[in-house]
Amino acid sequence: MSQEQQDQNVLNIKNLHTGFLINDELHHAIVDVNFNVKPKEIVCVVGESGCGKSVMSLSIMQLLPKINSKISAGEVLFNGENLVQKSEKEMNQIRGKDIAMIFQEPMTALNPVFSIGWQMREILFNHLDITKQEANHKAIDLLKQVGISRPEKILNEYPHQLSGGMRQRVVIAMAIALQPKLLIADEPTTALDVTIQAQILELLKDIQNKVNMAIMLITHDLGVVAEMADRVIVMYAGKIVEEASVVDLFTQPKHPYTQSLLDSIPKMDQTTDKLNTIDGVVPSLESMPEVGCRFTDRCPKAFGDCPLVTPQLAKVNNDHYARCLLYDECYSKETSYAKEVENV
Amino acid sequence: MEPSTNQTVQLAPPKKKSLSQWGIARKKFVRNIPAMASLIFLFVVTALSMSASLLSDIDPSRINPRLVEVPPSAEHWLGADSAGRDIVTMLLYGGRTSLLIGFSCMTIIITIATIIGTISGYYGNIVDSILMRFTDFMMNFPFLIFVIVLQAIFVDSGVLALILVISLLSWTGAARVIRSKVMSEKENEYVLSAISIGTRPSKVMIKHILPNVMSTIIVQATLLLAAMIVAETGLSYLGFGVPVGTPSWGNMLQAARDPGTFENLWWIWLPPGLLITLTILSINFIGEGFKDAFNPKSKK
Repeated sequence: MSQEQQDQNVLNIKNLHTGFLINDELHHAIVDVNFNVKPKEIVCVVGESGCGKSVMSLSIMQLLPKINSKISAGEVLFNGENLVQKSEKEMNQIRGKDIAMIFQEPMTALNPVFSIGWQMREILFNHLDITKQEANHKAIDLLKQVGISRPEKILNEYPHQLSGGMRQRVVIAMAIALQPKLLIADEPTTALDVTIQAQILELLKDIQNKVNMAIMLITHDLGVVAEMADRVIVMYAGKIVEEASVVDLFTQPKHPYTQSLLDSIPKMDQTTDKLNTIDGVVPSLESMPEVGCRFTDRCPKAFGDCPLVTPQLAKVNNDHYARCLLYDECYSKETSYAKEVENV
Repeated sequence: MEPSTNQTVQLAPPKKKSLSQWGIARKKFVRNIPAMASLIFLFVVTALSMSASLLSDIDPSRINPRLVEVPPSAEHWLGADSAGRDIVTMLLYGGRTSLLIGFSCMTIIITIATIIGTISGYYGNIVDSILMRFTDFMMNFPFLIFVIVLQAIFVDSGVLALILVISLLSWTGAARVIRSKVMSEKENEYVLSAISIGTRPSKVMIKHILPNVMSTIIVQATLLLAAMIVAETGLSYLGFGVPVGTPSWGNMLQAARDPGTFENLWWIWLPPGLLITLTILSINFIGEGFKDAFNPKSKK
């Protein structure tokens, strides 16, 4: 990819490593993550619980607890500026204004003691120099945009008076208040029931079209991915294992993990007693294998090299990347050399 | 979408204003009869004490040999003590001292406790360690001995010294409670969400977290008020509190240390004792009322 193209990306993540201190040792929750988000694009990040999806979103926002976590290497380039090196003060200018975030739990993402109006005004006051009146007008506008009927009334209400779907709409209204260039949505519909889910996703897509922002959608629901994504990133145990356009991913998944994920979706036309699952769990941070593929233990296609050789993320098709030793491209130069030596 | 006329549902008229959590708490508190009665009682006691000089034209510290130990009469409703001072007048002026000490100590303590507890809980880590070790250190002071020593040093400085001494030694418990509440409160997603919209950490602490722990602070403050009045009376009873010349409920109780007075002259010690008990009781009822009002699970 040329430098020029890179500059156009909203977000460029390069070689990101984020770790947590456990018993004074740094254990990486995210290893060597590289990807980018183009303007107006919806990128979905998929993976099981514990794969590092949320840690990645918090790394982008620089919201990780400083006490026990650390971005040990890599860059998060937002519009060409490295966020990792920004001071807390500079980040406060960016948070909410250029990058906004929607959290998973609309029940707790709003402060229970303040009215909706107060909280919506807060984000406006944080970044704009406006009067309370203007802020109220803007808040009403925003609430209308997210499909809340009687916004004037909602403004004076408190979070506990709203339903989950309404609260998530309010959270979205706050997130889009300053027309951010990037919206990070961390499982925005997980806590909602299915009908509301569909509405919220529809709303996000709608708004994205209107205000021209890029969305990084974190989810573990492949249905959501199919509905929303332009491009999909599959993560496993802190690493990207596959990256492809949404069509490619669903029609020809390359990595066994992705294949297993797709197999795990219940199908209406199938009559089976048992649903397909992936055996085992994601290894914990302390028990992460040093070398080899991290999916080996659970992989139906694992073979001799898997626990020994660490696969690299490599291009296996047009704009389709995977990290699996089934594809020769994924042997890095050194490791493939090691393999040859061993074979001799 | 146009709703057709025959399908419109008659909605209940909307309430004028939505109730905040504070509004709900207030409503619950007002409905709590013991708490409201206590509040009124405390208010009356405070008002009477405050207007002591208007209600009685007798000088509370004037010694009158002709009135020594007179029993209650029409002129002196509760009689006079062994120095011939009118009991009712002393109760009024004494209430002024006792309540002043109680309220001032409570204000100072809750301020210190809130600042230390909130900073400690919010910033955590090293800040927390330092502040909490300091708190432990303060906690380990033997209260009574320390007060007695300090009172011996500042022997003539009166009520102000007592307030400061009691306050400096009593904020630790409340600080710990507030700290733990802040620690659990800051894990809530709304804190992260506030930071993610570009709110400064100091502002998050003061504007987002503090209002959410305010209920704890208020309950702590009420309990402290009761405890501080008890502390004052206790110390004064022992002779280490308010200077002897100044009337206070605790000082009045001192008379009961004399067995003869205790057996025969009930009007000297019973009224201040009763008043202390009722005041403490009412403050505790108010505290319970606050606790109930702020607890979303209580059904009152």
